[in-house]
Amino acid sequence: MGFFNKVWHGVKRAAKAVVDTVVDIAINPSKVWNGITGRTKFEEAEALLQEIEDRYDKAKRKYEEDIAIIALKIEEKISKINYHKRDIYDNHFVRFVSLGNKIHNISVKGNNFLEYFDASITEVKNLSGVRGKNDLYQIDFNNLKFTEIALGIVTLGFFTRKKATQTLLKVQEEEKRIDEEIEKMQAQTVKANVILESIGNVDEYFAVLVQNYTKLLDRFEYGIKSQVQKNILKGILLVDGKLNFKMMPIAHIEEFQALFNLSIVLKQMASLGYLNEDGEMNNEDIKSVENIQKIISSNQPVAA
Amino acid sequence: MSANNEKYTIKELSFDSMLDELNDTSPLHMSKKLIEYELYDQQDSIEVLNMVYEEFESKDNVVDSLVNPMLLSLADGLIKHPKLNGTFRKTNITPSRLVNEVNAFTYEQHTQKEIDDDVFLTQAEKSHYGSFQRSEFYDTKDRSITESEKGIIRDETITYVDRNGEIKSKSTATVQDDITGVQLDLTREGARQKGTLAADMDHVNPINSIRNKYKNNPYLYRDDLETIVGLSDNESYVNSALNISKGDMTWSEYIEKYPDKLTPEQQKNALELEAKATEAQNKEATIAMAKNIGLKGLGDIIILLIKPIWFEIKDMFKNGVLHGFDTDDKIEAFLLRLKRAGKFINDNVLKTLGDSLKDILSNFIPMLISSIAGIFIGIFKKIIQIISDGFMAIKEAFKIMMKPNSEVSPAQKADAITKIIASAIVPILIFSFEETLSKIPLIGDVASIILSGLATTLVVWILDQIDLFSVKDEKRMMRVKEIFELRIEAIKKNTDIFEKASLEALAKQKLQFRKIADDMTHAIANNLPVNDAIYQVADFMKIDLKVKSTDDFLELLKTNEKIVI
Repeated sequence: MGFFNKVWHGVKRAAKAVVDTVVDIAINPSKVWNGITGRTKFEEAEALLQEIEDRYDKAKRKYEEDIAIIALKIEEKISKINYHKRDIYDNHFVRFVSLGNKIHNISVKGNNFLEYFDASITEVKNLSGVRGKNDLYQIDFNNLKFTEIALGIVTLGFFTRKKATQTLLKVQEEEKRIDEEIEKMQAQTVKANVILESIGNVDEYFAVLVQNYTKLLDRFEYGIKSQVQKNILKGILLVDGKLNFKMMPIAHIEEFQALFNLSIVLKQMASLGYLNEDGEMNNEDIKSVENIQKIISSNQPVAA
Repeated sequence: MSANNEKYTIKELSFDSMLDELNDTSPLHMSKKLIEYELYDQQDSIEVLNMVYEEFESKDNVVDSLVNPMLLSLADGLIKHPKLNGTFRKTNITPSRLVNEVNAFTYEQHTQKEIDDDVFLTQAEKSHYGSFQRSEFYDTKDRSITESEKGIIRDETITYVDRNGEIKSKSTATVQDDITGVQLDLTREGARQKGTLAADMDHVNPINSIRNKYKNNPYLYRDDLETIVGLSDNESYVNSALNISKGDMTWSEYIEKYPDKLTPEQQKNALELEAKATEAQNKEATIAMAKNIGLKGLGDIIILLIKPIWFEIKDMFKNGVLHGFDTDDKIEAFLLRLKRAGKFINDNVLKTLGDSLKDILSNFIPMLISSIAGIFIGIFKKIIQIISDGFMAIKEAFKIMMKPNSEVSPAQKADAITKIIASAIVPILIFSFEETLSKIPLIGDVASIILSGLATTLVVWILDQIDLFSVKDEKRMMRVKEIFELRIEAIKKNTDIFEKASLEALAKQKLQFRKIADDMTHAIANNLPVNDAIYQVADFMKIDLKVKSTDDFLELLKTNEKIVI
C-alpha cells in the first residue's frame, strides 16, 4: 500500500507542477519565457555579482580602516623607539662615558639605527578585487548582440540558456575567489595587530631599561662624586684626573660593571631594526664585542 | 581529480612548533619573526582560478574521452563479434589487453619480443629426419586401418613357399591402382601368383615433403604432421614400381621430372589425388594450429599491427599532426607518419615471421571466412538487439533520474540521459545501413559493429563538447569551489594558530620582562646589587655578555688602557 501511496503522491505532485506552470504561463508569460531563454539564470548571476561586489567593498573598507589605525599605532611605537635610540646615544651614552672616564678610558663606537615604518609590511600583497562584467559575463541580456538573439532562436534557446548558465557559474566561482580575498584581508588584520603587540613589547623594553639606566647613572654619579670628594679630603692626587679603581669600594665597581653591561644591551637594542631586515648589528659592533671577548679569554688564566 | 590538490594547498602552520619557534626567538626579533610567517601563499587568487581552468582544458581529456573509447569499441567490435564464433576467444586478446598494450606503445620503448620464444623450440624436433624418425614419428599409422578406411577386405587366402622352403599362407585382396587403374594385389606373393603387379600404399604428398613444408611453421608440432601424413585423403594405392620411382616427390614434382612416364590420363589422376590430399591437409593444419596455440601468435601479430597505427592516431589527436616532425606541411607529416608505421610493421612483423607468415595468413583467413559463412544471423536477432539496447538505455536513464539531487545535479542528470539515449539511437541508425555494408561478407559485418561503436563515441563526444547542459562548467565550478574552500579553511586555521601562538608567546615574554624589570628597579631604588638583574635581562634578550663576573670586569679594567663598547 505504502508504495502505491508514494507513487500516487508523486503523480499528484507532478500534476500540480504542470498545472502551476500552465497557470504561470497564463498569468505571467514572461516568467516562462525568461526560463526558456535563460534570462532567469542571468538575472540570478547579476544579483549575485552585485552582492559579491557589495560584500567585497564592505570588507575592503573595513580592512583599510582597521589597517590604517593599526599602521598608525605601529608608526607611533616606531617613532617612540627611534626617540629612545637617539636618546641613548645623544644623552645617556655621553653621560656614561664622561662618568666612566673618571675611572678608565672608555668610549662607545658605532651609531644608532633609526627605522622608518613601511606600510607595505601590514598590507595584503596580490589582492585582486571583483572582476568586471567583461571578464565574467558570457552573455549580457541587457545588451544582447544580434548574433546572440539569432543563435538563441535557431537553437530553441539552448544557446542563450547555456551562456546564461555559464555566466552564473562564473560569477559563483568569483564569489569563492572573493571569499578568499576577504579571508586574506581578515588574516592580515590579525597579523598586523599581533605585530603591533610585539612592537609594543619592544617599546616597553626600551622605556623600562632606559629609565633604569638613568637611575643607575644617577647612583653611579653620586658614588663617583663621593669618591672624588674622599680623595680630595685625603689629599690623594688624581692621576690624569682618574680615580684609582683598585682603591675603590667594590660596590662602585659593581655599579660600573652593571652600567657597562647594560650599555652593551642598550647599544644592541639601539642599533637593531625591528621590522626590517636592515639594521642588524654592523661589523664594527661585532668586532668590538669580539675584542672584549678576546681580552677576557686571553687573561682568563691570570684572573683565575 | 581531488588527488591533485597539492599545487593549490596553502601550507598549514602547527601551533606547537610555532610556539616552540617563538620561544626560541629573542624578544627583540619577535616582530621580524612574526612578519615572516605566511598565513597564506603569495599566489594571486586569479592565478589559482586560471590553474583550475587549465586543469579542465588539458588535452589529455581528448584522449580520455574520445580516443580511448574509440579504440575500445574497435577492439570490442573485432573481438566480441558473435559472427566470429568466438574465434578470437581462442586468442589471448581481450579488449582491455589490446587497449592497454596498444596505448602504452611508443617507438622508443618497443622491444622485440612479440612471439613466444618457446614456440620456436618446437622447430627443433622437426628438423631431423631419417628412416628412424620416419618410422617412429611420422609413418605410424597401421596399414590395416588404412585398408578398413578404404573398405578393403582381405578375403583371399594364398599359400606359397618362402625363402627357407617352408609353406606359408597369407590373406590378401585385389585393389585398383589409383593412377593406372589396373588390378594389383596387396602382397608380392599374391601378385606373383596372379601375374599382376604388387600394390604399395603411397602417401600422395610424401612425408618428407610435408615435413619440409611445415618445418618452419612455429604453430605446428611433429605430432600434428603425423596426423596430416596419415590423413585418408593422403593415402592411395599404386604399383610398387611407380611408388619407388616417385620416392620423396609429389606428383607434380614427379610429372615435371618425368613428363613421359605417365600417360596424360594418368597424370590427370595423379594431380587430382594430389589436389584432394593437399586440401585435406591444409584444413587439418589449420585446425591443429588453432588448437595448439589458441591463435596466441596471431593475437600477438594483430596487436603488433595495431600498435604503431594507433600510436600515430593518438599522437595526432594529442599533439597535433606536426608533432615530432621537422616540417610545416600537415600532409607531409601525415605521410611521414604512415611511412613510420609502415616501416615498423615491416621491420617487426613481416620480417620476424618470414616464411611462416604465408602459412599463418593463408590458413587463418579461409578458416575465418568459413566460420563466419557458417553462421547466419537473421533479421529477427537484430531487432531483438535493438530492442534490448533501447531498453537498457531507458533503464539506465531511469536509474539516473531516480538518484537524489544532492548526489547528481539536475544538469548532470540531463546530460547523462541525453548521452545514454544518443548511444542507443546511433547503433540503431547504423544497423539500418547494415544492409548495404553487409554485402561485403566479413569486412562489412565487423565494420558495422566497429562503425556503430565509433559513431556512438563520436556522438557522445560531440555532445560532450557542445555540453548542452553546461555540465563541464558545473564540474569546473565545483572544483573551483572545492579548492577555494580548502584554501579559505587553511587561511582561517593558520590565522587562528598564528594569533593564539604569537599572543601566548608575547604575553609570556612581557611577563618575564616585567618580573626582571621589577627586580632591577627595586634593586636600584634600594641600593642593592643590580648585576644579577642585568644578566637576566641580557639572558632574556639572548644577548651574550662577555663580562660575566666582577672578576672578569676588574681583569678587563686592569689589562686595557682603553675600553671601547
